[in-house]
Amino acid sequence: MQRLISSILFAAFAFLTLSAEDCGTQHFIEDSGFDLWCDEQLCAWEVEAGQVVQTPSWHKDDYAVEFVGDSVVISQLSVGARTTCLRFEVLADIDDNARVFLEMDFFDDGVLDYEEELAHVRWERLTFLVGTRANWDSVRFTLRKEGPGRARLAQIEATDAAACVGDPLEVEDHS
Amino acid sequence: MNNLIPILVALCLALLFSSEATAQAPEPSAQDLRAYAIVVGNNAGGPGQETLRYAEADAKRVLAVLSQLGDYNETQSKLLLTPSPSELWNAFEIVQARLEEDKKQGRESVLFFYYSGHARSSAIDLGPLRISLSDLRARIESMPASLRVVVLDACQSGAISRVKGAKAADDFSTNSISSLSMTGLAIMASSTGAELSQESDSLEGSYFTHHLVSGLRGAADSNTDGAVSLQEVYDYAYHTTLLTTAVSAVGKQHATLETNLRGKGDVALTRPSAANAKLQLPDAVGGAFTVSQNQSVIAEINKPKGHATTVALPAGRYSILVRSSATEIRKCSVKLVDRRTATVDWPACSKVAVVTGVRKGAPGEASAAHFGESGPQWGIEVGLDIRGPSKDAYTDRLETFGYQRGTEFLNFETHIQLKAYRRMGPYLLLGGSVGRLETDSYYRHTDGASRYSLKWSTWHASALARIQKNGFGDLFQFYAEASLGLSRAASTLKEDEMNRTAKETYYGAAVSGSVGVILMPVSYLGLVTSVGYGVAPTLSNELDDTHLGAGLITNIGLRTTF
Repeated sequence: MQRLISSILFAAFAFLTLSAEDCGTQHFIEDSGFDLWCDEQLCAWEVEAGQVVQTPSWHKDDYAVEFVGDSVVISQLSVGARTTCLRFEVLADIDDNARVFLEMDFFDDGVLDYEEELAHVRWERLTFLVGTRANWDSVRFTLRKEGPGRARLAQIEATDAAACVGDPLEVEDHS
Repeated sequence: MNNLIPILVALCLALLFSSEATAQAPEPSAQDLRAYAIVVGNNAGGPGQETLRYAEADAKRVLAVLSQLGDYNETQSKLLLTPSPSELWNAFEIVQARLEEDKKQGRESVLFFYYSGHARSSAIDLGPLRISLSDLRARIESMPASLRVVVLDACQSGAISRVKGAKAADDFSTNSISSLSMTGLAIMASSTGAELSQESDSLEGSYFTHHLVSGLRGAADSNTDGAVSLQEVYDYAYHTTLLTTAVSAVGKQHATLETNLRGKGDVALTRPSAANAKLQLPDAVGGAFTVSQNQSVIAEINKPKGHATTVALPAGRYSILVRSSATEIRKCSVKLVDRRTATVDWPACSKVAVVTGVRKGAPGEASAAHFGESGPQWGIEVGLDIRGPSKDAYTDRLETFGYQRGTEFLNFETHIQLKAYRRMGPYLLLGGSVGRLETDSYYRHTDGASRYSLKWSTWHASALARIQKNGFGDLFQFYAEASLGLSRAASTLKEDEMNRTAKETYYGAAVSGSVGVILMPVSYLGLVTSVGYGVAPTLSNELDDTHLGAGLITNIGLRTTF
């Protein structure tokens, strides 16, 4: 009888463990929704150049971040996580007079390892998959805007994905 | 043998003269005949019965026509309005004493008993108290009148067409006729035992008594002898009551008559020819004549062309609506003065536009006085809308921004709807509706401990138009409905961690269309179900996406009419 109960409990544990897929997902970006504001600055992002401000998104009280000016750069360092396949998602509103780039600097050594220009869209979700060798332990995400046009981002997220296609990035620590 | 012939001739002549003398014996003169009336009107209902509107008014009208056109003067008549049983018995006592005196004096006498009010299968209801039929029969039998005429218009309750009698199977009429008939007694009742008797708001009285009074005023004088007999007024009341109740919601009503008047022949109840003021309807015009005074219908006469009819009415000014054909209605005005007979001046009558859509049928059925009596005038429906979620650009945008719908377990919502409408024609109803169209909620979790929640609710107030048609008798009604109105949406966006709440209100239009079916097992209560489609583009966001609030709507509910 005890063996039967043990078997049932084990099966239940195994089921719950295997089905809890989301529990194993790594999130590399803090404040993915640009929801945390310290006064008029983003709490979780460094503003390296230019200015960002809170702006309404679909609702006047659900905020997005707007890149103000011709040259704006914000970044965030993610430490302690690693994966061979990064899934990057951003909800963007970028008009034709602005260009916004997503950049990744693995090891945060000042050497740009990945750069992708975001498409000109009106509040659409953009997704990228980036494959790497699994030998990095930190990555700096940078968002850079050029031009006078409108550029607004509402949500940005980087998670580990199941599989990436194509050759993985060779990343090294140059520091 | 030869001696016998003169004797036989003499005997035959004697018998002949004797029989002629008997046949030519004069009828009792008015001085030799005393007429007494006990007229009872009782609006009050007993336990479980509604108060009637017109029973007492009916009683007054009956007494008026009897005193104006019959031999019933005020001192010999008793009008009892909502009496107690003891008051009714007292009236019988008083009349009985006079009848006995007449009998001693050798005078003929007539007793007319009229009752309008509530009744059950074995008793008439006088408010909370009852008088059994057997007691009433015994009392009438004991009255020493030469002739007793009983008219019963027993009823219970209703709205425009009020239902009388507790149940069809327990109706007063048949039971009362079979149990009260006796020698020297005539009983007229308002309906058969399988039917219900009705009141009419437009007539401000019961159908039966209304036509009875019209007949007594002369409309029933089919042989134009100037007097209305019991048989004539019954024939008239029977046919006209049947015609006018044929289009009512309750259904046809057949008056009944049982007589046992051995040796009496026909009985004249009124003599319109002897009235002071009379109205003559011209023989050149046939059709339905509706005579009214001060917005009250006084008489309705269905008269064929080529047949002049005289109606006795009190002096005064009257309005007469004449429907001579399906397409011609004229309105006439006549002033009656004492000792004169006024004739409707047909060429001088003004034409009235025929209302398109008024139901046409047998003569009199479609007269203006009966417009809209093919069903209750007002209705209220309380229903439950069942509908699924509305998906559109607005909700797609929410999902793009990471929001998930909150109520996925039961993927439908329910809302109470209230409708009220008025019948505007045989098939058309206009009214309004109010209710909640939609509620919904969406949530978005941030990667912190916070959560955004968005909830909204949309209400509407609309005008509605419904085309409705009966089916399978009056049991089912099928309809198509369209509504247009205003909608109001209120949304609340709440952020948990900072405890921020933003409330917004939007206004827009609400449009819907539906088809439905109503089951009416009784005339005033039914079940309604419908399916339709509604749109209420009201809620919107900062990106100009509008939530249409569109969707298929199923409704089930209750309906009451009055």
